[in-house]
Order: sequence, then structure tokens, then C-alpha cells
Amino acid sequence: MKHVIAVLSLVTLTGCSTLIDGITGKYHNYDAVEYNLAVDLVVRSRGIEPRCSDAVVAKKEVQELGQRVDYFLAYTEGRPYNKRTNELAKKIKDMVTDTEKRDAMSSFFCRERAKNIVKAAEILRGSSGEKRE
Amino acid sequence: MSFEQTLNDINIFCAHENSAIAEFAQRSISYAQALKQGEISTEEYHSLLGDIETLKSMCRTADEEYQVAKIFQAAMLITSLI
Repeated sequence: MKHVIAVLSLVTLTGCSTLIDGITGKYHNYDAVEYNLAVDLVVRSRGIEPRCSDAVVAKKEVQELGQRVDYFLAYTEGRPYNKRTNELAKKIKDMVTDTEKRDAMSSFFCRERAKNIVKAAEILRGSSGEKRE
Repeated sequence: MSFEQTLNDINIFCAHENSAIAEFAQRSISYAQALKQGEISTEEYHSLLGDIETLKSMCRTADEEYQVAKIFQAAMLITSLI
């Protein structure tokens, strides 16, 4: 009898666990690789503003950030549960592309655009990190 | 859109990140001042204001993730209590 109860308990517990995982599983989507890439974008974007005294150097920095955003996009495109962070990264890409296309930009614009790109990258990082909760 | 309206929108979309409200507001003010002082062109001014709109939109998207996470957390708490 003890064996029967033990087996039934095990089956019930396993069943409950599977059921809970089934219901909540789609929210267990924290992705350490994605978070790491998001942190990389934050760090690289912070490197733009100090270079705004020279627009050419600043634009080179922006171009390099753009390549990292492309990598992030390529990574998240292939994973359905990274859809939201992919959407956020596309917004960063738009800001980066707009900056790259400019023939000239004022020092003020460069600094403020850089701050906005940093903020955007921080929002992306926050969104990626919140998945863990 | 009025400045107050912009602040209200940010307040809704960045509900979990109160510092963003003040930060965005401060940026909008400094853009207007820079335009007035001729530090930026009108086109650059509008681009920067566009950035604020983009950041608001990003906050809205990030908030969805945050709310889902909070709902999930609450559901797990209830499950553990049962």
C-alpha cells in the first residue's frame, strides 16, 4: 500500500509540475546570451558621447554600435520569445541609422543623440533582464 | 502635443521607472533652449524630439514585459501559498 501511495504521489507531483510549467513556461524565457549582448550595447553606446568633439570619430563609433545592433537583431530574430527585445533593438537601429546618414551634425546634437541611444540601450537591457522575474 | 501631455504619457508608459520621467522632461527643455540659442538646427531639434517619442514607445514595450513578469510573480506566489 505504501508503494502505491508513493507512486501515486510521485505521478501527481510530476503531473502538477508539468502542468504549471505548461501554463507558465512561456514566461521562463530569460536569455543570458541576449542579456549579455544588451549589456554590450549599453557599454558601447556610452562610448559615443565622449567622442562628440570630433563628428567623424563619433560617427565611426556609431557605425560600430550599428554592427553590434545588427548582431543583436540577427540573434533575437531566430528566437520567438525574444520578439519584444527584437522590437526594442529595431528602434535603436533606427536612431543609429539616422545618425550615420547625417553629413554633418552639431556638437550638441551629437551629445544628445548619444544620450538618447544610451537610454534606449538601457531600456533594452532592462527589458531583457526583467524576463528573469 | 503640450509639454504636460508629454509628461503624462511618459508617466503612464514608464510607470516602473520614475527617474525616466524627470530625465525625458529635462532633455526636452534643454533641446528647446539649444534651439533658441542657435546650438542646433530646427531639423536636429525635431529629430531629438523624435528620439523622446521613440524612448516613450520603447518604455511602453518594456512595460508590457514588466507587467507580464509581475503577473507571473503574483501567480507563482499564489501557487506557493496554495
